[in-house]
This record gives sequence, C-alpha cells and structure tokens, in this order.
Amino acid sequence: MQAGRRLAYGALVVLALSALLPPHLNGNWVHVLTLFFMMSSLAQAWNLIGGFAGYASFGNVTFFGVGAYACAYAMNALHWPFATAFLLAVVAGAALAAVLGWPILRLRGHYFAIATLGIAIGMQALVAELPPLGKGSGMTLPINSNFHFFYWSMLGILMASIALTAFIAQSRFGYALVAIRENEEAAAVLGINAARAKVFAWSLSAAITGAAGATYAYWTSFIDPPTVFDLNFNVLMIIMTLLGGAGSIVGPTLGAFILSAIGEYLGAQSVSPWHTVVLGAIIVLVVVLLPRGLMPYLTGNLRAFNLNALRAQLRASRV
Amino acid sequence: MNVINIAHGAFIMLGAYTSYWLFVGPMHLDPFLSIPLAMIVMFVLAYLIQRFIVNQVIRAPMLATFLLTFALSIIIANVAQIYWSSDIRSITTAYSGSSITFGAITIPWVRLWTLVIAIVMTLGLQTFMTHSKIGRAIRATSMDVDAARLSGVGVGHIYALTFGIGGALAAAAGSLVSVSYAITPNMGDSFVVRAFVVSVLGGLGNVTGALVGGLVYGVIESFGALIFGEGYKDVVALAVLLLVILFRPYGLVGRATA
Repeated sequence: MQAGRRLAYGALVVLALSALLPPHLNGNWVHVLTLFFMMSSLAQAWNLIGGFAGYASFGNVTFFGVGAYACAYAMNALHWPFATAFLLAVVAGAALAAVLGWPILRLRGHYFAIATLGIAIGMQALVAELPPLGKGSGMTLPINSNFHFFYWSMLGILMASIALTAFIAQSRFGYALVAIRENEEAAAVLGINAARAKVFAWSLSAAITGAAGATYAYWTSFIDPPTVFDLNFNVLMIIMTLLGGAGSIVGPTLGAFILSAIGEYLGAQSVSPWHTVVLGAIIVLVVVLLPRGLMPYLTGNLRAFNLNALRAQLRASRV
Repeated sequence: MNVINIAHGAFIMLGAYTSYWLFVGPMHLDPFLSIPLAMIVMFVLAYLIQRFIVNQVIRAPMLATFLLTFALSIIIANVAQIYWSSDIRSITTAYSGSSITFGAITIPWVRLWTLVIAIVMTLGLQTFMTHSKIGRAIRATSMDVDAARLSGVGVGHIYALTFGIGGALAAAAGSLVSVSYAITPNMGDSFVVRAFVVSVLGGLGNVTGALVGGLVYGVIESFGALIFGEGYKDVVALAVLLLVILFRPYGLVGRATA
C-alpha cells in the first residue's frame, strides 16, 4: 500500500499541474479532459463501495442522476446559485445512499447487484413521472459558457476523491471495509460494525457521484432522465475501476485514463456501433486476463507480466 | 447456476431475428414453426459462448460473469445493428389480426398460443430438470461444483449445456414475441430487467416459480399502470422487486433453505 500511496501523491501533483493547462488548450481538449475528470471521479467513487467494501453496485448512476436533478431543480425552480445547488446535490446523494443502504446493503452477491440495478431503473422511471422535475422532457439550467470553470470543478472533485481514498486506505475505516470484503462474518467477530461501515462508504461514494452529477448538469445546461440515469455510466465506472485495480487508491483514475484515451483514439465524438463493439471486447479481455487490474504491476506487488501467474489465475477461475 | 446473464436480452433479440429472416426468406416459414430452428441455433451459440468464454471466469467473483455477459450483450446488439441496421421490423402473418372472444374479453390468437407454448415449455423444463440425468447433474453442479465434479459430472460441459438451454429458451421467447412486438437490435433491453424481476419473484433456480413470477409480475405491472398511471408501471414493478428481495429472497412460492 506504501507504493500505492506514493503513486497517489504523484497523481495528485500531476493533476494539480494540469490546472494550469486550460488557457493553452483548444475547446475540444478542454471538453475531453473535463469528461475524463468526471469519469475518473465516478470510478473513484465506485471504488469506495465496490473496490474497498466489495459490494458491486449497479446503482451508483442513481446518485449521478439525483445529483444532476437536485442541482437543476435548485437552480431552475429555486434560483439558487450554483455553489449551494452543488451542496444540495452532494447532500441529496449521500442521504439517498444512507436511506437505501440500510436495507439494501444487507443483501449480497446477485441480490445486491439486482437490487441496485432495480433502484437505478426505478429511479429513472420515477423521475420521468414527476411534474416538478419536468417529467420525461428534462430540465434546463442557466447557461454558463465558461468551460474552464467546469474543467476546474471536475478536476477539484477528482482530486478531492483521490485524496479522500488515500486517507481512507490507511485509516481504521478503510481496514474495516477491506475486512468486510474479505470475510464479513470474521470482520463482525473482530468488532467491526459492518452495517455502519458499508452505509458510510456508500454515502461517501454517493456524495462524490452526486457532486459530479451536479457539475455535469450545469455544464451541459440540459438534462433528461435517459442521459443522467444512463446505465452505461455505471458500467464504465466499474470497468474503469477493474482495469486500473479495484481496491487500489488511484487505479480507477488510471483505468479511466486508458479507456478515455482509447475512446478518443477511436473517435468518441461519434459513438458508432463499432466503437461499442471494441468497448465490449476490452471488457471481455479485462475480465478474463486482468481481474486484479493494472495497479499490482505498478506498485510492485506483481513484478512483471508473468505468464505462469496468469495461467495459474486462469486455472483457478475456470471450470 | 449463479450466473447472471445480461446477454439474455440479446439472445431473445437473435431468436426474434432468426424467426424474422425465416419468415421473409424464400421458405416463408411461419414464426411458430421456426421456434425449434431458432432454439437449435441459439443453443449452439450459447453453448459455445459459455464453454469458451464464460467458463473461464466462472469461479471468479460474481462481478466478473456479470460484466462479461454485459460485454457480450453490447457486442451482439451492436454487431446486429451493423449488419441488420436499426430499422424496426415486424412479422405480419395471415392470422395476425384474428382473435377469440370470451364474453367481454378479446384475446388475439397469437397471444393465446404464446401463453400455451410458454406453459408447455416451462412444464417440459421442470420435468427435464427433475427427472433426467442431465437435469440432476445441472442441479448438483449448481449446489456444489466440486462435489459434482468428484461424482463424475463434467461440470464444464454441464455449465455450457445449462447456458445453451437458457439460450434456446430465450430464442423461443424471441420467436414468440416477434409476432406481437417490433423487432430491433435493442429490443432485448426491456426484457432483461423483466426477466430478472420475474426470476426473483419466482425464486432464483425455481423453474415453476418463474411461471408464477411471470404471471404475478404481469398482473402487478398492469394494475400498477391502471392505478398510478401508465408511466408508473416500471416504478411499481421495481418497488415490488425490492420488497421481494428484502423480505422473501427465496421467491414468492419458494421455501427458505440453509
């Protein structure tokens, strides 16, 4: 974990320096990097519940949508400034996760996955029916064309989430989450209040996700249910985290960087069916060949790409 | 079998397209008659997918198979879109418009036959699972892979066979819906979540439970739409899903085990 922390500090320095970039970039690159910061934040947030605690949430996109709608409602109907609307979104995400988490986080495996998937789809259907939220036709927000502001906002959310993860990884709370992931009964025997730790982890995850959702809403200035509750966001969070290394500190950001770079190379601006086919193929390769992600190779836990280790791991997972 | 197959919807879509191409092709095969062909095609495809891809990660955490089948599903749907375009297609047979009337209730013939075939298939699957040697092997593998292997069950083959049967049934479902619904490369999406809800309502791993789950779900969805309005039917259905998972995780008709 020591090497992981050093990598995290390195990543934070690089990201801090990237705050100087916007004046030197054209609009397209500002857009691409803002999107990369956003996806990294979402993956970092997913990593807290899915990577550390081992609860694979397919419902994290719910908090993205709720954050986006909370921000849109506060700015559009209540005429709040962005800063307070943003705070509302963070609180709304965390509170929703806490309320849903108490019953849902008692479930495990398939049941947890299906329940969270159900929440994501159900929340999208619910929001699409609520008149104050514009029903299915979406909501508009005040237009802010200072795109550098969104670049810095998303960058700030990402750096905060990495710093938070680095702090959690070496705290009693972080150890509790890892213990829960490895063996929940044993963790409980050690005196860990598993329910409280899991709910807290999901709330933190939801707070970051809600923050990203709020910023996204203000950035695009128009949101509707299919966009902000898009399950593909959730799948991308998971696959970015797995590619980098679930349960590591900056693995999710590394995974997001690689997938974003590939997407950019393939021309992410025009989402073609072939682009999606390549994404699917990458997921298959990552799941089969790199179940622990890339991080172990970088932190020295696995020294080099080792064909024998890969064979042993494949033997253990197949029938 | 502890594999959540997100690609189930894609299999349904492929089944529907198989029936479509056989219907518009030179054979002009009736969609109800093309069911066995669609089932054979999809059985083989699903068997190969499980044998050579999904079996590689079957012992890894559940997330691995979940993501893998998701990836397969987007690959299949997008390849279908590339080759068959996203045009909406439909099958119109000579008897599409005819229906049968019981008093105040009118039921299209195609829907009635769909119901009959679904019931026959469910009962057939139930019999197969409880009385055949392969069915016993499938249940044994699902309970304990290692114990099944030690008892001489070829678990790799059994996993693939089970996935193949699932694929064949999805294909049958696809052929059946092709006569009532529009056929598009993304048509499967709306069926996957419903298939989950129905399976959970019936109890995972419970064959006849799935039929009960399907009926209960259909009634809840329709009444939810009637009481709260059409747009709320998904909300109601998913709220029911959450309640069942929390309070009766073994399904509406199942019994708690271990």
